[in-house]
Amino acid sequence: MPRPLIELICALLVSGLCIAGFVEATKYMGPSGYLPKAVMLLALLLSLIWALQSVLWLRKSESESTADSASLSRIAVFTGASLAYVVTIPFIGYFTTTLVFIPAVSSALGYRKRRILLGAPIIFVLALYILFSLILQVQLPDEPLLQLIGIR
Amino acid sequence: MDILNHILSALPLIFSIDVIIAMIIGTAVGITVGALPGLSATMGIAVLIPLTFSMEPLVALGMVAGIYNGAMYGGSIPAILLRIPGTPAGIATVFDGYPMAQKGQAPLALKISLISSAIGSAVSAIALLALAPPLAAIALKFSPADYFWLALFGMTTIAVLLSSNPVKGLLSTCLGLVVGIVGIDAMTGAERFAFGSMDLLSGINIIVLLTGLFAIPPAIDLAVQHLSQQKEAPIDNKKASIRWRPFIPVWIKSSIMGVVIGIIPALGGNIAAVLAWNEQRRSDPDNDQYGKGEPKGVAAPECANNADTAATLIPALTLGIPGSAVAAVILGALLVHGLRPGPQLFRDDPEIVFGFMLTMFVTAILMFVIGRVGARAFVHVLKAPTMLLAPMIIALAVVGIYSIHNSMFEVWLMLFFGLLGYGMERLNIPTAPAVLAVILGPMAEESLRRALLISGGSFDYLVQSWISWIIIAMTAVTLIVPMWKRFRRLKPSRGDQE
Repeated sequence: MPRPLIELICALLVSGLCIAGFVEATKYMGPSGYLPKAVMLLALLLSLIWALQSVLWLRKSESESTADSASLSRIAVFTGASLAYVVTIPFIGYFTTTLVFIPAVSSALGYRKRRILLGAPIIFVLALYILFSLILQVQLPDEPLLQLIGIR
Repeated sequence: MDILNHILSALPLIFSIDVIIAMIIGTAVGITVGALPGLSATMGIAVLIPLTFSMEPLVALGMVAGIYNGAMYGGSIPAILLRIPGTPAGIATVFDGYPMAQKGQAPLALKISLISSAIGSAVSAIALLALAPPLAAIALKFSPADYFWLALFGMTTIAVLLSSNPVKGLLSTCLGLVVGIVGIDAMTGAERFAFGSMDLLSGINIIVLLTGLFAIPPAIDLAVQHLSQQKEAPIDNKKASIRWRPFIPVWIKSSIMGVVIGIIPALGGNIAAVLAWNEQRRSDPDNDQYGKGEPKGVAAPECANNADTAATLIPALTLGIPGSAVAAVILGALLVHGLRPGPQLFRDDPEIVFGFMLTMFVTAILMFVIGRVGARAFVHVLKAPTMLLAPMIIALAVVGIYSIHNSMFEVWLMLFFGLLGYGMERLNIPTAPAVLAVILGPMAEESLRRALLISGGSFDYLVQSWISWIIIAMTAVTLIVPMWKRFRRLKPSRGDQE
């Protein structure tokens, strides 16, 4: 997809959000509503100018190359894995999930040195465990798998 | 005299064992982060802030000072060895640093870079200590109306100057203003943009936004790029000797340039470095050697980009107006520890603010010591696999944010801002104005309301003081000059087409 078209879609999306935000801001009475309304109107105006700029750019038809498919697939793998990581944390715990997440993502991205792939996450998680659980005593989600082997 | 008393009372605090350890760790982490291409001081501090949540303010700020100074020097390591600036501020170091490395003078280039960086940082910290307190004393005389205009000036300046398209910069500011509005209005108790969510009632924590916008996009970039495959310049073990006396005028000139550029909002270390390199080349009679491995061509940019560091904090600490993304992140760190940036900080918490300024000076010296001792280790940082680092940054950001309020909601919010920030970067929308607006938006709103309360609702009060008029004029100039430049740039191109 050409870059100006992507920008046009984003600008229109922002405009829509600004209109929704302005409608919401009209519910705020008195001085509480001044800033939200002003910001939403300004943002609406700016997004419309952005949309206009994108249309003019589109008409010049000098389409700039967007990210290649290899980069896009790496972004998708990384963001998808990160979202899955956060979803999983409350169920199997932070340390267990991190121990799986780091080598899985690294190997999915193409890292192949096995010793580092397995060793580095263990050292990293151990450092985090010492810092957060032992020193800062942060209450992190339960670790049922680590509890099974008697670690937590 | 007051300044000297405050410095003397802060000195014992910064030489306590925990602050010293924090400064050492911060400096080492800063050099490491700076040495990794794609990671910046802003990102390093953003990831670290949640971890410093439970620390004493000065311990946390000592660590922040170390990271900030260290990262500026660290950026020169890949610039010299790989021809990739580790941070944007290392860009001009490439010009002569890499040719030096190719000639087998990498250790000498790294040594010049380290000494120049340490001198630049030290001069900058002295400038901060000398200039910030008097400026804060003047700022204490500001009325709420002046503060309103000042906040507006800060937001527009950064929005317009940081982006090639002012529309995008201002849109980023609007995003920050909206984020700053979310939650209960402190003055009226009304809920705004909370949509009935209990998690949003107390507002969006600035650290969630900072970590999302500044830590997640570089992590995604690391996952996508293959930076570690770059060819490293050979490192010769033989000791090279050099006469340091000719470097003294270079350091003086570059330090002054760095400090002045640091005070001006939205310029930053990269501009200081490029200008200092250019000025050095222009003023040297032997200027045909520049770009081919001239040692002074490494000293000038490294001294200037480090002289920019503490100077950037002058408007941030005294007026509460951060002039760059990293200054905004540091203001975020102050807010997290219950310290409100601005002139009242110098009145209410002088030990902390003077202590922080002193840590900027001490970390400049520490940077030299750590840089010398760990030179070999920092060079090895370049071999760190980025594909392994990227998920580690995500893991660190997640646990850091979770540990603030034990809230998974905030982790999700951080990821949301991270993806939003990545999208903004792809669309050339600067993220720094958003962070600035989160800090300055509530300040502008509160000042405006207070001004209207004082004046009984009359808007005339907003333009009654001469300070207000000066700030309004500065804001107008900031808005008009870039537009005029754009217009002038467009004119000849139209002529060409005809």
